[in-house]
Amino acid sequence: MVLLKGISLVLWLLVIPFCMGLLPARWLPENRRNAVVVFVAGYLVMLPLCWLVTVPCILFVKYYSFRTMVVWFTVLALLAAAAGAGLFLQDWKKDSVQRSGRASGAGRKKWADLKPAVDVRGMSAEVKIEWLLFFALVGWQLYKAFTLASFDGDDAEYVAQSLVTQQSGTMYLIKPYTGGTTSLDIRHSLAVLPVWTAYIAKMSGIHATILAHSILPFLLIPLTYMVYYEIGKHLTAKNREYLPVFMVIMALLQMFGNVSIYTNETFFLTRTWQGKSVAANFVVPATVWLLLWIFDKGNERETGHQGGMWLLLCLTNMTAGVCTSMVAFLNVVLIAAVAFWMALTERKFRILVKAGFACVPNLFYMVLYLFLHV
Amino acid sequence: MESVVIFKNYVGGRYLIVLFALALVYLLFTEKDRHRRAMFVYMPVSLLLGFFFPITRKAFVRLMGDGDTYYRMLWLVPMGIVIAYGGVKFAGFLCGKCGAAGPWMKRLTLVLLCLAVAFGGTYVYASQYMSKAENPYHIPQKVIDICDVIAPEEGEERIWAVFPTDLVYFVRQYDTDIQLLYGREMVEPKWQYAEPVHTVMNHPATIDIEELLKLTRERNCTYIVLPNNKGVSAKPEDFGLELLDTIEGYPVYFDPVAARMMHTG
Repeated sequence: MVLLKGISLVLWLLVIPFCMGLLPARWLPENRRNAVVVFVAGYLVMLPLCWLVTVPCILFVKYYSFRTMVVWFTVLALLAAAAGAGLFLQDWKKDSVQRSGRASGAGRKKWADLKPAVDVRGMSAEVKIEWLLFFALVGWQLYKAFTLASFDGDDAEYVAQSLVTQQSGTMYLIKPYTGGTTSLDIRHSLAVLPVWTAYIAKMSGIHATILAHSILPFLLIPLTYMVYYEIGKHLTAKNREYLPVFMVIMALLQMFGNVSIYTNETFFLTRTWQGKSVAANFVVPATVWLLLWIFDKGNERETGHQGGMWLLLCLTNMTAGVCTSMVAFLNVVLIAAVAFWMALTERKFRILVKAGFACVPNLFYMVLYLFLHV
Repeated sequence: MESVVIFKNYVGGRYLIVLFALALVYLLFTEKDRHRRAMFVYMPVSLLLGFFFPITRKAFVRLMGDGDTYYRMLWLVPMGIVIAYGGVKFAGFLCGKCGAAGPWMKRLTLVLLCLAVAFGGTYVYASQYMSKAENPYHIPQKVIDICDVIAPEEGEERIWAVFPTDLVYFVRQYDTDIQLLYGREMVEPKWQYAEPVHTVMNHPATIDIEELLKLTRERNCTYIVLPNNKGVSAKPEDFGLELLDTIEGYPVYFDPVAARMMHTG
């Protein structure tokens, strides 16, 4: 039984998101693709897909809307993962044929060439020690996430909401605090991360509270560091030996950033599973990462598609709405601020237009939010 | 001024914000790449200026209907990335400038930066809100033990219960078949709800059992968990309650009168 639950978790938290991530990776420049990017992209596909299935179910399915959501999301998630994996294998085969046809073996690089995220060959002993230090810090954070319980009153809503959904089969019709029935809770029903947690709980047969408090940190903490890794990799492209130190400093900042109860670092390690924390520590850094990719090309020669980065930015905006309504709004402020300065820097007005298009999901979200509130 | 207070509360009087300011100034003068200057200097500064601009806060409150969460604007400022990037850039600069001693200067700088982060911040695991996890649910074991005593069997109807204020946060994170007469929204002082059952249960010294049962029986509440640190106005058994168990000092009662009333309508 435990083995089945473990397999199910690996499938739904690792394998399926990874396969989903292969879809947008097709449209990324070749030099940007690696396994880490694909995995992060997978969550930028999976969570918006969850939103697209869940919200109509909440609004239009009267009884046992969660059961309907489970059926539709399972079908669509499996289709998306199969499509990602299928297209990857197809390209990989084509690529192999092309390579075998060339004497040198140096065939044209295809999107299927997923480079390893970290290449240990050629690393100095000092760099290896720095990487070990970083992994030790992350390991310590994971150990603490498992062995320490943090009290937060919002869990009475977030986690109870997931458990209500898992146990009752309905969504946002039962008050998480007391269990009384209510008319549809519009304020929270657009931020569907608790439903995603309930879904994973349902598919793995694990109690939603155990999943949120003891298991999800093992996904969400590394996911954030994957985003920081990509940011660091970009910023230290000319001096790659500084990357592990960058990561060590980032890890230390998370552990010592608890200067108040309000900081994103505090949320990261004390409320890891809550939508607010995922928004502050995954969505916002992912937005910074993608904006950095889009605008800061440096001397790198980009080969392949550029549109994939804008697509990922759109998906990140959708993910913001999955986590919390507020960050769906705030992410627009962030993108607008960056786009404004980049438009001035490059003297190109069309940057603002492109950024505006990337924020269309947020606009749709806000209109829906206001419409449902009226 | 409110924004200044919110900012002060956010940075918590620790020195990490000084590190951020130093990194920002360093990047302002040394970052040659104009895109990175825009990203890690101009953008954070403009967001901070926007944060302190009074109209921004008014617009935020108008849109969100809530000023308490204005601090989340600060989440957009990539303080950590600016500190880490500024730090490694400065270390790289020293490494290049100090000739043969450069690598050691670099190492020393980075070690000092790590120490500055550690001493300028606050260790999250020393927080008063952290405690040793007693189970994989990460909720107090006593709540689980109490819930296991009163929870309905598979296929039975959900039940209504009353719990002491300190336990209400956790009950429905364990079992949603247990419904509560008041939940977290009633016990948070900042939300200023007045719930009659909670008012009785929240009396600082003594719980008025007669008043409590009058209210709970009206609402078909069949289980009552009393606090472990307060007195009662009378013996609950004198009013027909049955003591099921006492868990870590919390007496757990079943109310057969309420159960009868519920079934007879």
